[in-house]
Amino acid sequence: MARTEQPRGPGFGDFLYDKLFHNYIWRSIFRSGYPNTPRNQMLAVATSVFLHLHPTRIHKTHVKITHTYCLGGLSFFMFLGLTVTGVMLMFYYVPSVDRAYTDIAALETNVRFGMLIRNLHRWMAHAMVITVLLHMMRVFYMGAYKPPREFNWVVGVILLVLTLLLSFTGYLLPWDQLALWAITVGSNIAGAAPTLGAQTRIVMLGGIEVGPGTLIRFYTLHVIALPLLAAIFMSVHFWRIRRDGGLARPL
Amino acid sequence: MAIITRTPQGSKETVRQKRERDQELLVWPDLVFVEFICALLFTITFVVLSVLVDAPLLNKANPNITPNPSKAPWYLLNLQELLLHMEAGLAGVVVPTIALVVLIAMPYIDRSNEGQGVWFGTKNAVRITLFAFTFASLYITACILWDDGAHVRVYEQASVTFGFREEGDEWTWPGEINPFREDDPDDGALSFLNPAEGALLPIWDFIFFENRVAIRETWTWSMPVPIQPGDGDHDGRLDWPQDFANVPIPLNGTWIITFDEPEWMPGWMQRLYWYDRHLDVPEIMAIYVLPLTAIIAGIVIMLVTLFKLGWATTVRDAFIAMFTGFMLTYLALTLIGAAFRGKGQELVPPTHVPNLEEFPNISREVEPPSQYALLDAQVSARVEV
Ligand code: HEM
Repeated sequence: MARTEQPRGPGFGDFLYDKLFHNYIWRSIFRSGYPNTPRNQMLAVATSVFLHLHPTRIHKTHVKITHTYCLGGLSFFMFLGLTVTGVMLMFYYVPSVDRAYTDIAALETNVRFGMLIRNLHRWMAHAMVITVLLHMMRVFYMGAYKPPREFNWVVGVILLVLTLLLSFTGYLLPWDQLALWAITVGSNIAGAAPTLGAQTRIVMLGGIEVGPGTLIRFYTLHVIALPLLAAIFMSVHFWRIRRDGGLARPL
Repeated sequence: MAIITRTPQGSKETVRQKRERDQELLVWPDLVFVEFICALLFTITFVVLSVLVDAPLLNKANPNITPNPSKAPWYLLNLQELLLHMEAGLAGVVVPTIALVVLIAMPYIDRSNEGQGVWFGTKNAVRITLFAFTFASLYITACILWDDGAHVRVYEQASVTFGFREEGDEWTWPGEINPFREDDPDDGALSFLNPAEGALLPIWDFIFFENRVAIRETWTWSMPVPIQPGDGDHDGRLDWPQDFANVPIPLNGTWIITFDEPEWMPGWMQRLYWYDRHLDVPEIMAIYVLPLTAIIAGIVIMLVTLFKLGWATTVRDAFIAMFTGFMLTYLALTLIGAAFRGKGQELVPPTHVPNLEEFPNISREVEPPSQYALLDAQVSARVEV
């Protein structure tokens, strides 16, 4: 005997729900209310700034955690976390040779939760490099770069390079011995380029050696130019996933 | 089921999977929920991690004190490691650029749609991955140990242990076992094929097996050459390495015709000209040819083995092997650079790698006051007033 769903009368929960979520102010923020019907659930995704990068519906194999291990999503999550903690660090940090180091040292000791924010920023930065590399490996071993996804793989490689550059430019900012010498080694590697190496190095460092010019250059790249570029390429990356028909699936 | 669409050129066909609406779930709540859990777990993990482990902060930057070893950030340590084994431009710029270009070009070369969207979807994919993983690990380890001369040390020890020579004896690797080497090769007859002094001596000596730079520094041989090209002093022999260290390259501005350095050009353009360039062949062998050969040989041996075994048959298979090899190399060189390179970038066990924070000159001199101490002091000062 087939069971058909019968409408039920409103209970106390529905009354509460109605009062809480169907009032004027709430509806001015969330137009579709709490999404408890398929239609509203799709609307919630499609109309929210924060969720609209998703498609509204997705193939069920892709929801399994073992399909992606959430690695792309985690890379993006790291990026968001780094943006938030990075903004907080910017409140206290002045990118000048005189102040940079003392600002960081003071952040650790004089600012409530300063050390925590700095640690979060540092560890998430390392983690992002790792998750991006792992994400690339998962895409590769699934053959998910095959047509029509070739270009999204290219965007991915650009994102990988941007991630490394973000991490590299950030490494200098504490202006301690670790930072100075790591960037010296790194820029010497770039300076070894055939023919244009010396010029590249000078452009990169804003001088002959790592100094005040380098600090301001790396800072500007680290807090504005590279995150902006990364955000743009990430938008393209996510958009392409949808344009390419969602994640790769066997034919 | 697949949909066949035409690419703009209309030549190649791209295959897209068909939408299966009946198999689809709603993103809210099915995906958003997973993402939320993921984000929550990782937020908690990172907060806990950051409470437990502090980010390093050493002394203020000081250009006059160079820490030994100075190391790049960890994800660049693989390049720094490469730097120890070949010319700097090759290691730091050319090789990584080629790797990136190949990585970008890969989807345009491997265009089959077979096995996509599933972990290791093609036949033999797991096998190839495991093979490439094992092969690359062994190959990288072997290359690094060889360049460090580790096998020489083993040979040195073993030859004493097994009684080939006394402890402390003069010896050359493993020229001493050259069966044709005579104590006094100068017996008058200059025979080209006499292994004791002729053209084959350098091969019998095997000295360049010592390591990569030995080809320039310890490998010496001399070959009788009856004809003399060009003029100038000539002793009738060709000696390695000195006769090869200053070879003019054709059209280098001093070779046949002499022309002036194009000074009107910007410096970097001048450098593109071969003006007064001479080739140091032994050096080129040591810092370009041998390392590049090692890289290319590694890839070729791996691929040929896989195709001969019949495990690999397609372009995708070749890329699985190369990608695995690449990622393994990235990881292995990073590990070696981080955990096995001590002072002066010597190859040492991890326990001998100096921890920068232990060095009084490099780590922070002053123990920072405990968190909030300063702020609390200010607050209490204000309260007291
Ligand atoms: C900042 C770095 C990156 C972010 C935030 C990012 C984010 C994402 C996300 C969220 C997805 C959805 C599926 C998943 O989570 O796996 C995805 C898919 C994809 N990513 Fe990335 N990604 C990044 C870097 C890369 C890199 C380095 C590559 C490759 C070189 C790459 C290639 C791809 C491709 C081809 C897909 C489609 C996979 C499929 O159809 O199954 N991405 N990316």
